Amino acid sequence: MVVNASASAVHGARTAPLDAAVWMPQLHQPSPFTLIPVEIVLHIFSFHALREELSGIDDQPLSTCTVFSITQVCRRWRQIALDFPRLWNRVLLYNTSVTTELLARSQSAPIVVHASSLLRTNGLPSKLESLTLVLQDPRRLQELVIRGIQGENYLNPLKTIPAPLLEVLHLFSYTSRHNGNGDNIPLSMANTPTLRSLSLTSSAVDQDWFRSLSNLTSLELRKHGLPLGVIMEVLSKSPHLTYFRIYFEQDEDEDEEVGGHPGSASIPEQPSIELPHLEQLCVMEVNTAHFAALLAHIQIPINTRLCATLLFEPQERIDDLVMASLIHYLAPPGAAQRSGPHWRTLCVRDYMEGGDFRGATFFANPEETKGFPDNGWKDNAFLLDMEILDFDIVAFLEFMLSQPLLSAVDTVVLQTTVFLPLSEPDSLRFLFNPSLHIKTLVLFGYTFVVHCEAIKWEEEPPEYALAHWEVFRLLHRMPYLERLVLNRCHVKRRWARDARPPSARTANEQCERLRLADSQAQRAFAVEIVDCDVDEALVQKLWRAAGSVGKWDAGWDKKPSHRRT
Amino acid sequence: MPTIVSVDDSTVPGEGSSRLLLLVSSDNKHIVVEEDIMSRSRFISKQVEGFEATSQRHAILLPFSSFVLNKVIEYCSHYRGYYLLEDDPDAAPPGRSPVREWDQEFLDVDRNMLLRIIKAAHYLEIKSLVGSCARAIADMIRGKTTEEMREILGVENDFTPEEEHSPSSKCTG
Repeated sequence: MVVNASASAVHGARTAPLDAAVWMPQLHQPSPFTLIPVEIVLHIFSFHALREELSGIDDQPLSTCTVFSITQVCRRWRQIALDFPRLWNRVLLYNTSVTTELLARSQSAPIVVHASSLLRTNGLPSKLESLTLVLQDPRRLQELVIRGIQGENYLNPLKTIPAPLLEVLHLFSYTSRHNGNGDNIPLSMANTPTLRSLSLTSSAVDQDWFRSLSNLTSLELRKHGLPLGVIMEVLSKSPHLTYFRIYFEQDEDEDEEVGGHPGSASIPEQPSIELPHLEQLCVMEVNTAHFAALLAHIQIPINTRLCATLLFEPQERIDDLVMASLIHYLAPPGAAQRSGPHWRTLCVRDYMEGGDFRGATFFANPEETKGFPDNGWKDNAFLLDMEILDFDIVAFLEFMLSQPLLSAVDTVVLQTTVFLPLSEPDSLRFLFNPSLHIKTLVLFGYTFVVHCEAIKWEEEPPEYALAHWEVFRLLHRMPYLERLVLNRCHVKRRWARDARPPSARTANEQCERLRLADSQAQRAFAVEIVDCDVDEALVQKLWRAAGSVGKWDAGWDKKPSHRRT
Repeated sequence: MPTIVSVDDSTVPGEGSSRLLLLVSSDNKHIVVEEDIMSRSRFISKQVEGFEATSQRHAILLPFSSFVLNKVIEYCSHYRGYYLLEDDPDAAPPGRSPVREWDQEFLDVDRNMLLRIIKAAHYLEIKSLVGSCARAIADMIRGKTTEEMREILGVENDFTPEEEHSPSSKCTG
């Protein structure tokens, strides 16, 4: 290549370099930041505004809000910020003075209101007056996300004045209080042609207004009082829906009830609704019949992520329900099999945050696996969250692993402390099934209770019996096991003078109980100890239990790696 | 606008029709880069359109150093062939730039370098890079006090005592 450009010709005509001024405070030259164009500064400021935690920010001292701090840095920043209305369009509800100022600064920009509980003020002035001020003129309203209005009709202006820019409306506990006649006060609004995202929790809704909605992209309904037929009608007018979450639960508290619930209504006879863009479908606290019926009425793409919690009715058999629902999900009638054959990992963990209902939640959503051990298991993982206490979980796991959808699973991650006690080898008997090709077993977050003889407990190392170690001795009979991982496990020592180790069973007795044939080869496997608070004595126990161990890595406590051959 | 000087029409040896661009930095370094790599830059794309109109290839003079230019080229090379919504002139601008892990590592540089990169990206009209840099800078000062912001970005407090408490202090009390 020939370049007909001389350096002198080039530089003779060039413009001043943008980065010529390197900030050197000792020479009193301006900071590079003072030289960058206004539009870049605005871009950075915008990130500030966007990155603020909108929910709950009005419970924090105003001085911690960065968007206000930037006006205090220097003249240039202040001028740029004040000349940028969109920087101020997230209206905080501290007090009417601040709200008025923000409404003025944001000029004619669409406004966004996110407010946490209006009644919990943490000593700050009530937000109710500020909210009323904002809602006096809803024509600039773009987003309204508020919690806990507790039955007052602060949204009354919205009934008569259109909100032509409103795109997002999320209400929590809008009308949970009955009016004088004992009726609920349903949410009703004037024209909202641009509404795309609607979330209603414990908020009664006027059916006529709800029926008028169309082209929603996100819909979440919980304790809303809408018949399912009306909901389906809106779904049929929202072909671009990407997110749909619906709760079927009964409201146990009559005083709090806001109306009927989808579970009380039968699924109407109507053509199946196509939702070709649906990315996530969450059907919560539903019984099996409604779950199956709903899935039958909605045509969803094969790669739609599904989340469901199943509500069991007393007369129903829990295990049948779970399995029937799972089968329905894994192999929906009339549809090709979901993308399950790519799943390589089955993750099972306790579902501890679901209140007192009994249910199983199964996620096929990679996002839902956040917080799970990040060691490659998240990839292609079928995550099963469960809170099932009184049915045969072992049979259930065997069932799951026998499904064609999970036929490629070679890694099982167990994060569970309630229904799979390691001290009972029966709990893990599904692992010994020779038809399963489990190569990696991960125990995550287990607490090993160690019973210590306390005669001379202050001396190290202590003599103790590990309640679970008999199980580890059996794992080498898993036909394909190559790797056992203990991740973030720890030991809880139970020191007591009268402590007794659990009754010891020999490995042979265990094998007989689990019907493991003597002919099954005992395999060596690697044990990895990752981020575990365990001591060398336990490590020795595990090593002996495994029979032959290739490598141990102690990570969390920074101990040097142990190697055994 | 940068000065444009004539360059022979050239292609990458052995890579078919992939064309070359000559970029000249402010420190007079000549950097040859494939046109495809720099197509993420709207500024460069417009220059290339100009070349095609006149059937002449030129060197493009850029007003930042080769060090910065090489960083930008590294970014463009990494995302060569990738579709990034922010760089699509026909797409509606996203509300906010997505977090890209590679970008976070790429932009783990000192403050001055970060500011130079964002200026270069702005000049070259690479919106995705501007967005990632803006996010990185915003993260640097997020949650910081006014004093800390000044220190981090080297900005002097040029307020008079009266100005410091007016008019925006109304909202910070």
